Amino acid sequence: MSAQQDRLFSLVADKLGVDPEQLTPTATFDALDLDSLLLIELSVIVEKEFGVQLDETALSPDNTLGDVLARIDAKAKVA
Amino acid sequence: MGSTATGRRRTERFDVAVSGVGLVTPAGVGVRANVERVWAGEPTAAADPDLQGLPVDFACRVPDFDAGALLGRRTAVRMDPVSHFGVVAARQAVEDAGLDPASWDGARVGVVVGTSLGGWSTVEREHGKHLADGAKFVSPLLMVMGPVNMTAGYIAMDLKALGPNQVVSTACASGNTAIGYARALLESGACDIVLAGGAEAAMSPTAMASLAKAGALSTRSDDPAAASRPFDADRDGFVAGEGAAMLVLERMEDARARGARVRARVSGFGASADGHHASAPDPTGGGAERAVRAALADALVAPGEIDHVNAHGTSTPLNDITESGVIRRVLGERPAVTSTKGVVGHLLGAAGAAEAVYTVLAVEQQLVPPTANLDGLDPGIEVDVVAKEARPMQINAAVNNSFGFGGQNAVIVVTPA
Repeated sequence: MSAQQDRLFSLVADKLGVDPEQLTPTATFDALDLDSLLLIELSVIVEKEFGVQLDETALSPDNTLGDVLARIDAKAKVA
Repeated sequence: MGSTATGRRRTERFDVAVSGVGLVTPAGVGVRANVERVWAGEPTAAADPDLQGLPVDFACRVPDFDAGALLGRRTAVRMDPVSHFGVVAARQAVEDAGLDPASWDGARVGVVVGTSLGGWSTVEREHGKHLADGAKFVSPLLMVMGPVNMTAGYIAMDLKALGPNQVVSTACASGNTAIGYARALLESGACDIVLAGGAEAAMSPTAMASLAKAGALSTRSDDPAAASRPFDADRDGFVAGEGAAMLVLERMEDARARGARVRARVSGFGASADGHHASAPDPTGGGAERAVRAALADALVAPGEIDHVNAHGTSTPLNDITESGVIRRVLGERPAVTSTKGVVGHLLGAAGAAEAVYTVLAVEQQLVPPTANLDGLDPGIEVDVVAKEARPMQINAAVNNSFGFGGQNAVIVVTPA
């Protein structure tokens, strides 16, 4: 598990109230019961904490935290 | 013959059963913790780390409250603390009433919550983010956390209370105003059950700085526990508090028919406006007097029949002298007067509701809680204030006073079950 993943999961548990045991890279937002308001909140958190802007294509109910981590890693590689 | 606040003449009393109560206050979470602390007259005010560096750095906070554990973290993250307190108090009240939301007809269950500042602390936090980091970092949850209506909405979601649902706001009278509106919903037949009360969680630096600047708060920083001292000669302001209180209200015949334990009755409600000043009470007490008289008329109770008053009793120099004058003038020497704010401080929009519950419990137990910190009665105050120890006595009728900034007054009459 990467340090980025640890940090993202901890933020999602703390700020979105998701049970830490449910957090896996493959769980969909739908499965995590994250509705549209919480997904926008997730995008605010990710931009603030990782400096990565998530567009709508990363925030559909079928997306996963793994997809978000991929965007964060992609940005890290570019930098 | 009496008349209601709307002028309609009453010939028969309309009694509302209080079949359940819930309390989240600085005295603790739950009725038992509150009875232990409030009836012992043990103050709760203490230095508050959240207020460090402010002109007034102490308050009455709800102890040991873990919203995530009580409500579930998924539910808790989208609520301001004002709704955490309100939902927990509502759940307690429903359980206390022996009701099961899984089986009730939710469309017949209303919710009326009084609050003054609603989700103010969330608004303040997000405003801070906006100024510091820019608009794109403002949380989308602000709009489901900040607005004052949300506490009533969350109670409906949590308990499937699907009838009329609203928040009323009359500053520090809000809790009593909510109970008055609930009475109307029950009397009209719009609801069979109403969850009514108040909630407040405005312990934010800006709100507290403003209250301090306005001169409303006690500045007794060297001894916070002694700061809330209603009716005492050395009082110098109120101590801000937070929390929620909810009551389950039903028509008496409905409560009896389902075999409910009725703790007491809300038998009258009266409201008025001072129309005088933004923060100071009308020095003649005219507005407060009209509200008390309206509540007595609604309850068909004569002024000389009131045995106990849970006063607004804020511990400010002006309120306590004005209010005691009204009590003496309207109700005479008879009532045993107390202010539970000596223990829990001033819960603002939740104050009227918490004190309504304390009045209900005083009537049920036939035991008036003491006014904490009353070491020397202000010589200008000529009423019988219960100090030091709870007083066992016969209470056939009691009054709960609440008066708000803006000159808004709301009073209820409580009688035994």
